[in-house]
Amino acid sequence: VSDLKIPDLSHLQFLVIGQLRSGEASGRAIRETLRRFRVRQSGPAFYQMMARMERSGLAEGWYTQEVVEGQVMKERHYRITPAGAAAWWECRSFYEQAIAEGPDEEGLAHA
Amino acid sequence: MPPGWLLRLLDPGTRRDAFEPAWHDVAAEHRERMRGARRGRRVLNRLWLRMRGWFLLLQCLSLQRRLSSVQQTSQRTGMMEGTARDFRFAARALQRRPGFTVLAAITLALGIGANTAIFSVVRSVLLRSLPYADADRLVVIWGDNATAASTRDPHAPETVQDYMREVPAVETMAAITPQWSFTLVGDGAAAERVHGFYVSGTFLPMLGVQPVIGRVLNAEDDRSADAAPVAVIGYGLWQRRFGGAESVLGSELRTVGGSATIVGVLPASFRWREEAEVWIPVVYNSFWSTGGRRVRLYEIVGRLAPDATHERAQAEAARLSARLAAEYPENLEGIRARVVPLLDDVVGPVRRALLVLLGAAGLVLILACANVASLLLVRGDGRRREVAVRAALGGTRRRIARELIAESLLLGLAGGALGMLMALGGVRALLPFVPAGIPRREEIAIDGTVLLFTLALALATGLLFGLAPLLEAFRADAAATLREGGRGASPGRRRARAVLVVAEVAVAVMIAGGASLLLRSFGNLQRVDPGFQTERVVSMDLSNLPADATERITLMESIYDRLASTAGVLAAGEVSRIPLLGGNITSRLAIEDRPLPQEEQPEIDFRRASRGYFAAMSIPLLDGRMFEAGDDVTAAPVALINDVAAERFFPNEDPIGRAVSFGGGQYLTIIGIVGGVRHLGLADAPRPEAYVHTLQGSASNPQLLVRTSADPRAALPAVRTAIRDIAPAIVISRVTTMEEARALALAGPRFNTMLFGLFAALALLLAAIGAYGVMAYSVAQRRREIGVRLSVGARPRDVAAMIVRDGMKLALLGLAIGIAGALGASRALRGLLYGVSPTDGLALGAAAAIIAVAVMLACLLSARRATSVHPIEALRVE
Repeated sequence: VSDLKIPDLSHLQFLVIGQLRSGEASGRAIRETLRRFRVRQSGPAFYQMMARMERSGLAEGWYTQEVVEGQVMKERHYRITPAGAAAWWECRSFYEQAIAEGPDEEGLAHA
Repeated sequence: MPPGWLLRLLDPGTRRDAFEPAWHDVAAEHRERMRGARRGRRVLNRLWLRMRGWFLLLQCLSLQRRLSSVQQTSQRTGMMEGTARDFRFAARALQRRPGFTVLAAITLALGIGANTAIFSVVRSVLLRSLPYADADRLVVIWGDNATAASTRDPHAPETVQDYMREVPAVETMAAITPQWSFTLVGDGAAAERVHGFYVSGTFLPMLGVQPVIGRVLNAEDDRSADAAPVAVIGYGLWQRRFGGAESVLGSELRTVGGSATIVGVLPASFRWREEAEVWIPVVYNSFWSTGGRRVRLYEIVGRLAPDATHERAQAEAARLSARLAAEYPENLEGIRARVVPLLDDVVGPVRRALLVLLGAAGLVLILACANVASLLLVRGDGRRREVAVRAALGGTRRRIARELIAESLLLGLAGGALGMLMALGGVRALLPFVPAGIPRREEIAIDGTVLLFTLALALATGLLFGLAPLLEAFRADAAATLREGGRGASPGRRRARAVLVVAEVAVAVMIAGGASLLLRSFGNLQRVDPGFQTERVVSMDLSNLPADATERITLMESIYDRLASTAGVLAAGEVSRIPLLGGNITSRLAIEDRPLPQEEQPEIDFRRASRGYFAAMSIPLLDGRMFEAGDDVTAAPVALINDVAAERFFPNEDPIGRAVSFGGGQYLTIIGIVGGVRHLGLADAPRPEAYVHTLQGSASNPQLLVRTSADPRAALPAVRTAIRDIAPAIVISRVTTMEEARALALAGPRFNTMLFGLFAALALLLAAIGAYGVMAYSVAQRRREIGVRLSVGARPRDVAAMIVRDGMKLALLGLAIGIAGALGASRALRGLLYGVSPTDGLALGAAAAIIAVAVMLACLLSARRATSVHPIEALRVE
């Protein structure tokens, strides 16, 4: 276990990239997924996290635009980048390895 | 979205990364919620969206701060915890005094709620820009006609063209007719009466109107009346008559007397003054080519040139009108141009009433703030000892101040939340009473900015007076306060409370005085005799009649014969303009044997009426004889005039038998004098009026009046059947009972009186609560003194009288100031009153008396509490 590197992704980022792996999604849709995992995060906090992920090259974001009843409606959409996909796999491998190499349930119970 | 200057509090990164995408999500959710929502729900949704915007801003500010240094963050967390503790402490303190808390919160809520509701109406109607492109630069040019005492005279076609050429300060101009009626036929649908306007091609582009489909009218359409006519139709008509199909473009809009090719559909949101569904180039209006300088029918709307001012436009237009009046005195004598901003022109008639109501609402807010201040001062007295103890134990000024601020803020927020509910309920409750005559009625909605402003004011008042005990505690000697035991108020605070009571009574008298004046005026208006009987009379417009005058007259006579034998119909007749329903036509009156140049001939209101009209409206014949069946085209032309015309134009003479002509036409003999009617409104005295007989020249679209023996609405089916039996193609529209017309004429004054009355009731309540609060506290402070007085043999009655006397001294001073203030402010009410002077002693006296009685009751209640206590107990309090 000692040579395992702690992954770069936080739990939230792991969840977000996990969803983006199945295709691009709007910010609202991603927030809906997070809510299912009982993540309560304000809109601005969520989008700030997404902006950080974009700056780290984990995801790409862009606005879509639609005219509804004469008003321009915008929505932010995201897709995963190759770096994001790699980071997600790395994170996933870390936990799998940690589980495989760590104490079993019995060991934990006696610790 | 919150205003731009507030968004500047966010650094560009936070705004771009966090605020904007989150705001777009909120806006999208809002749009989904608005879909299909009812009107009330839409208002709430819009308010909710605004609040969410503010909330997002706060969240982003908090994020921004969290990102600053770790040290700062930890300090802030400590402060947040401290703040939470302050608020918990404040909530407990307020809970301990539920009476005070509820009273203060309700007082604040009344002030905030009333103000927000009325200011929302004022802002929607008076202050918001009109929904047209660059609306602030749009102006209207009217004629100020001294002869006809009219300030909104329209223009004749040739005069319009002069203005278009010779007023460079107004770069684009358009001519518009008054609302026009069209009877639509064909298309396999039933004939239908719709309204519209003839306008210059420049009109719709100037207002920035974008079509839903097709195009709007444009300057090309003004070129020539020889080309095939085109029309633009309204959204409602497109949906209703053409099923919303795009194939409507290029199809024919067939009306009685013509047809036009539909080239575009306007959006549902577009409105211009009155209801309109058909827009046709003005060159196709029959008077445009024939009206010369004689037919003054066209309103001019224009847009100021980019470098021009309103003053320059006025000067240029006035110069031109003076020149035209000199050149064409027979038509334009005495008419001067008046350039008015479009917004002022649209809202002008209701501006004064709304501003007066706004003033009253502002006074209620002042009253509410004064009340809260007085309540907080009273409470502050009770807390002086507590504050002194804490200061003596080492409590810092900052710490105690924070708790007091938290308390005031909580109180303000509670009042604000209640006030917001009251405002929402208030606007919803007000809407049905907003008279139909108020322009932009459909735009009225709750106003977030006003809500925030009143809330801020209430909070500021709470803070200012809530901190008073603190300032005093640190200024005064804490030890002395402790020794004194926090009893009794300092002379300064006693004076402050006395000033507040006097101010509250004065403000209440001012509001109640205004309400009392409006109430008397409304009573007078209700009692006004309009000159005809409104009960059991129904009016309706008839159209799609034969174009030939003789055929039309024969048809109408057959209709009258049929109606005469219809059960429940007592009388029926027609007139070219019905009183109280808007519209008036004037004409120049020439009297035989009194030759005058045309420009000096007086103006008279001109009507065409059938003989049954006077019976249907119960307009009395005062002298001479009525129109008769024999007064037809074959007989000598005859006319009736009203008593006002008889007195004005034939003083000390008998007008009957005299010959007169209207607008330069043939001479007619006056055969009778009828009673005058209030045509323009209940508050407008009867004007000189002349009637000619429809048998000698009928109107193409007559307005029919039917008097019935019972409820006119119940008799309508029989009336419709009788008309349709004779003429199945006739279109009946705008069915109104004269009682409804009268109610409509009273709607404006009723609305003003109702709102003012409501404010007066609020003011009365607030003043009474304020006076009671102060008196009750003053009595509580004097309990020991009262106990001593009672124990040495004073009678309770004398003690009560002493307390009431003290209270009434303040009240009388307030009454005197209030009456003086009401007299000073009464000028604002001039123009809204009918049959009562703004300085009417009876109205102001009654208002003052009611306030005095309310304050006296408050004092009596306090006195009763004071004297009901046993003297020993009163002394034991110490």
